[in-house]
Amino acid sequence: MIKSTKTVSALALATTMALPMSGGVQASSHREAPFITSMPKVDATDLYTFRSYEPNRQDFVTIIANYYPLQDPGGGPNFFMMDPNALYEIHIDNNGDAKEDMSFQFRFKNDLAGGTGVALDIGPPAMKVEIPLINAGETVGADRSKLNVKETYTVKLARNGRRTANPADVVNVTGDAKEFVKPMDYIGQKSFPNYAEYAKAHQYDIKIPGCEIAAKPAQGRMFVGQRKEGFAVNVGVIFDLINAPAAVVTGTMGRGAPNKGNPLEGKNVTTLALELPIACVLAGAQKTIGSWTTASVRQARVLDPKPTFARPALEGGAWTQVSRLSMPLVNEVIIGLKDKNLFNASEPSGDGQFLRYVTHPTLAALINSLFMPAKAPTTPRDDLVAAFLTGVEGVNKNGSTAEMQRLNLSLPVTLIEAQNNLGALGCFKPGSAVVDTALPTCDPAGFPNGRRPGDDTVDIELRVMMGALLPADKAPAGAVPFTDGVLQDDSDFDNAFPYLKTPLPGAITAPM
Amino acid sequence: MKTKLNLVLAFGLALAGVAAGCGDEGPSTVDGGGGNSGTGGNGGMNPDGGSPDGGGDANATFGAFVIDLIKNKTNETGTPESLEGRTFDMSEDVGTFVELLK
Repeated sequence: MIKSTKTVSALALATTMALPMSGGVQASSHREAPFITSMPKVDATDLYTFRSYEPNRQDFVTIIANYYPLQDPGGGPNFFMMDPNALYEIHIDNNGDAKEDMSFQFRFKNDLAGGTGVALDIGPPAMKVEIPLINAGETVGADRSKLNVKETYTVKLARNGRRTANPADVVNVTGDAKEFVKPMDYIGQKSFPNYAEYAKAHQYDIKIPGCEIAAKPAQGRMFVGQRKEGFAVNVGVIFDLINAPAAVVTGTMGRGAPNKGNPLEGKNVTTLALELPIACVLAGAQKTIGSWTTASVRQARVLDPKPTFARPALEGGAWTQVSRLSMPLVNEVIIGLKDKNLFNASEPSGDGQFLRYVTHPTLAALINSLFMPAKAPTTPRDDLVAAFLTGVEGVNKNGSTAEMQRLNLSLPVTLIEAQNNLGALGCFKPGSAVVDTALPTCDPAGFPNGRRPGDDTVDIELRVMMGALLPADKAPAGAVPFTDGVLQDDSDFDNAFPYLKTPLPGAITAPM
Repeated sequence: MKTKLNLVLAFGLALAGVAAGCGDEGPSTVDGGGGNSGTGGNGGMNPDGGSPDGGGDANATFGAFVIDLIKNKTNETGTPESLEGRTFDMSEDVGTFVELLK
């Protein structure tokens, strides 16, 4: 979701009124703050953190950070290369102090083939002339000879603070190489007759620096590249003041059908996916980790009046954070418009400045104003503080008060066929924040205990926002099965790393 | 001169503080005409924002500030400079960034 999504109905509202939408689809965490709309390459859209449910990978945790929202598959000729002047990070807090203990730092590099790009012999008289496209022919497997741009990246792991000196290199198990190749976006079926195979050739087994298992360097997996957008949310309706009948919003007509009616269905996104041994991310007795992703750019930028491919601008200064994401929809529908840019520049340890937005949320009141029977819960909202800022007692509470995606790694994995797309919401006794894992609807491995791709976070957050975890006297509409009418479930994802599906092609080869 | 400089150079100052103080109204321009560009934001409010007196001349020209950032403060471990309390002289000379861009 855009940063999650569906959520928001209510949220949407505030966002709609404040942001001039440029047309087309706007999702919830995509383009969620005014300033980030000017920098789509560093706009984080979704974060997923879950114990790997791929068969035989239960000893691993998968963290997926999506960037660069709303990619039209045919968005050529340059498509969606990452920003070579940005720092993309995935952070993990493993001791409950709301500060990063592990930060995986991704840096990208985009080079023209041969330094100046593919050139063709044009003439007479004979002359080498560079082509205007990013590829010049069909590509199969890991072959790059027909590509006009080589996208590569490096990953470093900083421990005990993201700006500490000398972070260690994450290296390829094969040959200890520090540089990895990012597959080119799915231009179309003529350029990539088998894109799935091509992309698979760019999934890497990696060594995790500073971690050994059985006296050997610990290994994980990594994929960075374009994927099909997995978030499902009824954005158009939401942003138009929740333009749907009350019967739809309150669930009387069901929650929608899998892969039907999702405005984001035709979009792609860029994924940074890590699969790490659980033993490498835990520290001490704390079994709950907190995760979030950020993107930073250099503080200053001077545009070059004679721009080149390699340097259209000169950038320098310290890294300055411009994007932040963990729990879906927080910046979209909870943080007030005036503080959205600030939230994107902030860190979890400083979240006290945003507390009032959680204890006294405007979203529920907005929903109430649009659907009068949907009476907003009374405030202050300690239930939301638990859901978004502290974790839930007995599930994923880890001692800090900060917005992050908390995952208790000691809880069992739920295999894909048994997953409940309402996540752990079904673990709460009706009308309370008390967890009962014996409830038949309980799936403790899902949101808000981390977040899996198939968790319908929009419906979950809508219901929690309207008081699903509160008694009826505090939340008259707490038992209403609110929904955005677009269903999110595991059917739109793979059952193996990196879970998000092969992206949509920019063009399809017509049958002869 | 300022007009010419505007034609030649455009600035984009991506600051956490600017994000809060200037929103998406666009980057500061060298002529500063009609606006309060560069008059600050509240970068000190965010953890990445450094301190209001985190170094530099509070009355420096905007160009000098940017050049100092790029030439002297580009590293992997530093924190960005806050814009809080800074007042910039926006009257830049046309050659301000020529050396930087060579």
